[in-house]
Amino acid sequence: MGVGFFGFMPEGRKRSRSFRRIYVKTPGGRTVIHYKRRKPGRAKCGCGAVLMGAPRGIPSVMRKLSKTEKRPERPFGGVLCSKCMRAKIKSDCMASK
Amino acid sequence: MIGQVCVKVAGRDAGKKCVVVDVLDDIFVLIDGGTRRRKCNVSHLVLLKEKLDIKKGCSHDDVVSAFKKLGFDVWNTKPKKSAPRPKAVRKGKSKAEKEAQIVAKKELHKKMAEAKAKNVKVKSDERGLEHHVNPDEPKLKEREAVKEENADRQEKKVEEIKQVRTKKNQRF
Repeated sequence: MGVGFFGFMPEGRKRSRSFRRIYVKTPGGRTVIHYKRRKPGRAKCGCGAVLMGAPRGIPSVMRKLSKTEKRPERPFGGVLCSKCMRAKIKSDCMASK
Repeated sequence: MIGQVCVKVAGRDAGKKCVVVDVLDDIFVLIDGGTRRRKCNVSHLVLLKEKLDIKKGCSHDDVVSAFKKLGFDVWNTKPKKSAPRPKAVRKGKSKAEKEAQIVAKKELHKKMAEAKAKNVKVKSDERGLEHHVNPDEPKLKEREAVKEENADRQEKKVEEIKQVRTKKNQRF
């Protein structure tokens, strides 16, 4: 099985599924496989909700983004969803009262 | 409602204390203090016990003084001093500079003329323009001869054309 699609043996690391495979049609008509790193999972709040405004990319892509592009500009941005953040601030208010 | 101290719950100012300065309508109020002075949805505010003695629509300075009495943090930004915008300067020279340039040019021309006059004759052409001519130049005579020849040829051509035209006119 380990033999690649076109009969060439791929590198050992490419035989695992930690790389995703992208089939690319070349101008010459061949179909070749491009191996790319899988994206990490979506950022999530403690409540389980997917965080909006937090992009999903491999570190090399995330490194190119500015700080403001990586999370919303509010307290707990990129950590809590807006609902949880509001609830937390409200509860803090009540506690201080 | 005016003077009510609140905590903002949503957005980038969330968790900061503010005071209602004006009531705009059923939904929106104008807030100031720990947040930026801005319009705000009432649902984004949590009311606190405290109330301030301020007038409707009072200035930011009044709010600041009232806020400081209670010991709350105040939103203050130092406005950035914008550097004066560089004005586009015309590339052209000033009048004095231009005049100085002209004078300098004239002097230079004079010097050159004097220098050339010592060993070079000055020839003026039909238009009155002066040309410095070096009589020692060997090809000069040849050139003049060629010029004369060309002039003769042209005259001849002109005459020929005239003759042709007159012939044509005679036919009709």
